[in-house]
Amino acid sequence: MYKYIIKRLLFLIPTVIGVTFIIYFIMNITPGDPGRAILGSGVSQADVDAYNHAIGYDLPFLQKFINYLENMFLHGDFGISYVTKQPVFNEIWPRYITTIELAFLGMIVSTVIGIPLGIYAAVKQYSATDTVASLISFLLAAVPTFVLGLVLLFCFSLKLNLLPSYGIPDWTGYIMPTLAIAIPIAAQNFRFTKSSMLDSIRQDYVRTARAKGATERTVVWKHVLKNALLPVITQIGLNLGLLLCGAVVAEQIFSVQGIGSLIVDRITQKDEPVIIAGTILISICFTIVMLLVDIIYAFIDPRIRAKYTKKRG
Amino acid sequence: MFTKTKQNMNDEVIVYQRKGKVKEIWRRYKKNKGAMIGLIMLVIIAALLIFGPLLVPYDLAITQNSSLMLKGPSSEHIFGNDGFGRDIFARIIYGGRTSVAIALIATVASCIVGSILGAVAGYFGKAVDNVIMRALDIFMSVPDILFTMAVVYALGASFTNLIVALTLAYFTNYVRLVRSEVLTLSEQDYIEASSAGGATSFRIILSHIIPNAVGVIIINTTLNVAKIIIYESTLSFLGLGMPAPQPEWGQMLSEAREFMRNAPHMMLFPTLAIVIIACAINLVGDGLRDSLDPRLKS
Amino acid sequence: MKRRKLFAVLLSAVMAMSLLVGCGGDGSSGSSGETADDTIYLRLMSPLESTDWQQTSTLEGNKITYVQLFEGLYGIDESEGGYYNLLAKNVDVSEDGLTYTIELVDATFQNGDTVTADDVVFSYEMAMNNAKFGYVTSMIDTVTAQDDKTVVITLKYPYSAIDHTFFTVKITSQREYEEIVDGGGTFGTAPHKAGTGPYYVEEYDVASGVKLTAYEDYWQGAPDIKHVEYRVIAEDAAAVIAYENGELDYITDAPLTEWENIEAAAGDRCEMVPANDIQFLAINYKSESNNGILSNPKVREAIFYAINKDDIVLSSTTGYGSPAYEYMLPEYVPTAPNADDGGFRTYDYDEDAAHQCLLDAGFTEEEIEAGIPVGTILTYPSDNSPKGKAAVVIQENLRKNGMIAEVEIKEASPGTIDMYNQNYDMAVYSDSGNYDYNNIRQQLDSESTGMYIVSYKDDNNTFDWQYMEDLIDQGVAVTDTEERVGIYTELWDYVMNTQTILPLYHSAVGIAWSDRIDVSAINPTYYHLTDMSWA
Repeated sequence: MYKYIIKRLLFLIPTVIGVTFIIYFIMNITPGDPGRAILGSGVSQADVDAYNHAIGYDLPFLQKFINYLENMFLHGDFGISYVTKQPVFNEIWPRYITTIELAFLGMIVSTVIGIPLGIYAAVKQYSATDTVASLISFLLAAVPTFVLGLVLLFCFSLKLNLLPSYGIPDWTGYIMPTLAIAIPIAAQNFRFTKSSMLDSIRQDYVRTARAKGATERTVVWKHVLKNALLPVITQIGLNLGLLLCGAVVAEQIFSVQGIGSLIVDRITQKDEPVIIAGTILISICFTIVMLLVDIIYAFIDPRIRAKYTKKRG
Repeated sequence: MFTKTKQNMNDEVIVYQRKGKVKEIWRRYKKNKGAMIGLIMLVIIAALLIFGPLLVPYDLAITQNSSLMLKGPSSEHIFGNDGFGRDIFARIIYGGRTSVAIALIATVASCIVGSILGAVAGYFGKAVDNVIMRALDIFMSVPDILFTMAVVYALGASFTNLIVALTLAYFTNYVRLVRSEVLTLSEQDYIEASSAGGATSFRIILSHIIPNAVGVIIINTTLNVAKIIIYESTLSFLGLGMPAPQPEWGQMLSEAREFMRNAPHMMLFPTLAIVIIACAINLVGDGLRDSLDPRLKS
Repeated sequence: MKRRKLFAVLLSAVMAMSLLVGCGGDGSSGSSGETADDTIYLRLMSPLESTDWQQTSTLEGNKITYVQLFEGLYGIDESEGGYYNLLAKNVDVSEDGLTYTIELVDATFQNGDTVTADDVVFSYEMAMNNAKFGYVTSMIDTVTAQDDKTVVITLKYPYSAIDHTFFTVKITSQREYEEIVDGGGTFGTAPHKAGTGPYYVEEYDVASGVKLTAYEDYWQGAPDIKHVEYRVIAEDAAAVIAYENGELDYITDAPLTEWENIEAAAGDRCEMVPANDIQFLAINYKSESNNGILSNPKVREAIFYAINKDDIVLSSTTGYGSPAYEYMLPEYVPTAPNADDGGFRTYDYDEDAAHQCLLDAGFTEEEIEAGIPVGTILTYPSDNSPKGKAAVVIQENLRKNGMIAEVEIKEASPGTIDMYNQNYDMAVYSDSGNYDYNNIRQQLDSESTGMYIVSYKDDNNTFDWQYMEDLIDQGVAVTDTEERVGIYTELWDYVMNTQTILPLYHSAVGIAWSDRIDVSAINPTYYHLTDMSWA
C-alpha cells in the first residue's frame, strides 16, 4: 500500500512534465504574442519582436519547454510574469489558495447537502421529501453557474444587501461564490447518491439481510450505506474538476481574485509563465485529491485493498 | 472445429439475447413514469428544433428592430426581444439547433474516440494499457475548463473548433468507462472462446466487447449531452462560445448578462430552454440506466 | 483490520483538516468591508499591472499612474480641451519651432527630493528608449539639462503636437528608480515614491488592488482626501450594486446598460459626458474577397450609406452615445474640424442612395434582392463589447440594403494585428485618448507604425497618399489653431471621399459618486483624485 502511494506520488513528476508540455504546445499554436499585448498597437513589428526576444518568448517551443522544466525542478523558479514582471509564484500562490479554498468549500457544502439528502430520498423513496428534492435537484443541476451566481448576487447583495457584492472582505464573502459553485454539484451528488443507494438496496445481500429479520435501520446503516457510498466517494473526488470550472466563473462574477480568473485574464495576453504555473498547481492539487480518494476507497473496500496487497506480494 | 462451433453458437445466443433485450428494456422503460415524461419532453423539443424552421423563418432570428429593443414578452413576440430587438423565441429555436448539434456531435465524437482508446487499453492490457492510462492521467489532471479554454482560444471560436475542444474535454470519461467494462467482460467465457477460435483482436473488440459495453455507453452519452449543453454556456460566459450573429443558447445567455436587471426575460428564456432540455435528457438517461440494469429485472 | 480502519479515519481527518486549514487561511486577499472614514473607494475592472507609468498598458491603469502618481511637463484639461503647464512653469519655443526651453516648477518627488532637470532628462531618455513610447518621442532629437531647473528639448522637425508628448512622458525620480533597480528589484512591482503626483502607492498587491495615500507636500497643495483604495470588481453588475450599497465612492465608465439604475441611486451626483473616442469602420479597398468587390468605390459608398449610425448608437451605447462624423470630437480637441461647419463630406443612413450606388456599381435589381456578398466585418475584443455589437448591427444594416457580410470577432491582440496587416475586408476599430488632431497621423501616414489600417500607399496610386501625408506634415508645422483646423478640414474631406474610413459613433462616459464626496470637475478619460473632496 505504502509502495503504491509513493508510486502515485512519484507519478506527479511526469504529470507536471506532461501538463507543462501540453500547455506549452497549446500556447505555441495560439495567435498573438506578449510583446504586442504589452506594448500596444502603436509599435512597429520590429520593436515587438525585440521585446519578445528580450523576455525569451521567441525561443523555439521545445527549448522554452526544457528551460522551463529546468528552472522549475532545479531552481524552484516559475519565472517572471510577462505582464506584471512579478515573480510568478508570488503572484499566483495567494490566488491559488483562494481558488482551492473555494473549491473545497464547494466540495464540503455540496457533499453535506447532497449526500444526506440523497440517502434520505432513497430510504424514503416516493415520499414527499423525495419527490420535492428530486425535482429541485433536477432543475438546479441544469442551471449554468453564472446564471445562478448572478441570481444570488441580485438577491443577496442588491435586494437584501446582506452579503458583499464583490471580493472576500471577511467570511461572508465566501458564501455566494461557494453556493454558486456548490448548488449544481450538490444537486448532482444528490442524484448520484440516491441512485447508488437504490442500486444497493436492491442487491441480494440486502434482501438476505432483510429476510434474516434485521431491522430496517440496521439494513440501511450496515449494509446499504457502506456499499452505496463507495462510488459516491469517487464521484466527490471527480467533482473537483467541475468545482474548479465553477470557481472560474464564480471568481469572475464575485470578483474573487483566484487563479481561474487570473488564467482567463492572462490567456489573452499570452502570459505563458503564469498560465503554465497556474495550470501545474491545479493539476497537482487534482492529482493529490484523486490519490486521497483512491486511498480512502481502498481502505473502505476490502476487495480493492486485496488487489493492492496482491500487487505488493 | 469444436471451438468454431462454440463461437458460432455464442454469436447466435448474443444476437438472440439482444433482440429480446430491446423489447425487455422498452417494457421496463415504459413502467418508469419519470422516464416517459422525459422522453415525451425530448420528443417535443426535438420536433420543435427540427420542424421549428417551418413555423419560424430564420429572418426573424436575425432581423433587428431598434424600436423593440429589450421589450418584454408580448403577443407578437412571445419571449420578448433582445438587445438588438431580435425575436428571442426565434433565436431559441435556431440557437437550440446549434447548441444541441454541437452537444450531440461532440458527445458522439468523444464517445467514439474514448471508447476506442478504452477498448484498446482494456483488451490489450499490459504496456498498451499502461501507456494509454498514464497519458490519460496526465490529460485528466488538467481541469477541463482550462483545457477547453486554451484550445478554443488557440483555434478560435467556431462550430468545428468548439466541437474539437469539447471532444477533447469529454472523451476521457469514456476511456475509463469502456476500459473497466472491457476488463470485466474479457474475463468472461465467450471472449476467451472467440480469442481461442482465432478471431483477430480487432474483430473481437468490434464484435463482442463494444456491443456488450453499449449499455453503459448509452447512459453516459445521454447524460453527457446535457452536461455539454450547460458547459457551452459557461464557455460563452468566458467569451469563448459561438461567434456573435448566429444564435446559440450559451451565447444568448452571455448577451443577456448585462441586461439581467433591466430585461430579465433575456436571461430567463434561454435558461429555461437549457434547464428543460437538460432535465428531459437526464430523465431519459436515468430511465435508460434503470431499464438497462439487469439487476432490476424483478 | 482495526488498524486499517483507524488509518482510514486518520486519513479522512487529515483530508478534512487540510480543507479547514485551507478555508480558514487568512482571507486577506479581499478588501475590508466597512468603509473607514478617511478613505474613499474606487473600482478597478482588472488588477493594476504595475505602479510604473511605463508598464501600465490598460487605460484604466493609466488613469492611476498617469494622473495620480506621476505628472508630466503638461497636463490635459479634458473639460476645456487642450493641454496646460504642469511641471513646466514656462516653455519657450524657438522661431523655427525646433527648440523648446522649459523651466521647471518647484516641485518635489513623493520621496522628498526636489525635481531637477536631470530627472526630466532621465525620464525622457527612458521613454525614448522604450519602443512603446516611440509614437510620442520619435520626433525628439535631444533632451539636455541647461541648469538645475531648465531643460532644453530639441526636435528633429517642427512638431506642434508635442504637447501630447509633454503630457505622456512622466517625470520619474532618477534616484529612486535607480535605487530600486540597483537593489535587484523591478521598478513598478512594488510601492514607490518616485512620482511628483498628489498620491503615492501605500500598498500594492496585483491580485487585490492598490491603496494610495495623499502626498502631504504635493507642490500644488495637499489633497483633501487622504486615503484612496482601489478594489478589483470584474463584474459590471456587481460594481453597480456596490455603488448602490455605498461600497464605492466614485465610479467612472459606468456600464451604460445599467445607467438608469445608477441615476436612480445617484440623484444629482452623477453626470454623463461624451467619450473622447470614436469608433470607425474601415474598408480594405485592397481586399481580394469576392473578386475584389471592395475595390469598387461605388460599393464602398453603398456600404457607407447603408450604415445606420443611430441603430449602432442604440445597441452599442444603450442610446447614450451619438453618431460620429469627425475624426475627433471638436468639443475636446480644439484643432479638430467640426462637421457642423460643413467643410467635409459626411455620410448618413440613406437607403435610396445605397441602392443607387449598387446599381451604379453594375449590379442588377435581382442581384441586390438576393444579396451581394461583400466580405467579413472584423472586430475585437468580444461579442458583447460595443464594437462587437456595432459589427452585428452593421451586418444587419447591410443585409437590409442588399449586401451580405459575415462577422468575425477576435481577441484584441490577434484582431488588431490582422487589421494592421490589412488582413481584413471591413474592420470596426476605435481610436482615442488624444487631444491633438495630429493623432490622425497614425491612421493616414504610411510611416505610421500602428493603426495604419487602411493602407493608402499602394503601387497603383489609387489614392493621393502623398497629398495626405503632406497635409499631415503641414498640420504640425504650423502652430496657429485656426490654420491647423483649415488644413485638417481639407485632409478629412479627402479621406471621406476615399470611402475607406467611416466614423460610426462616440460613446458616452457615465460617472457617479457617493454622497460622501464632492467632485469639482468631470473628465471623460482621466479623473483627478484632487478634484474630489469630502462633502
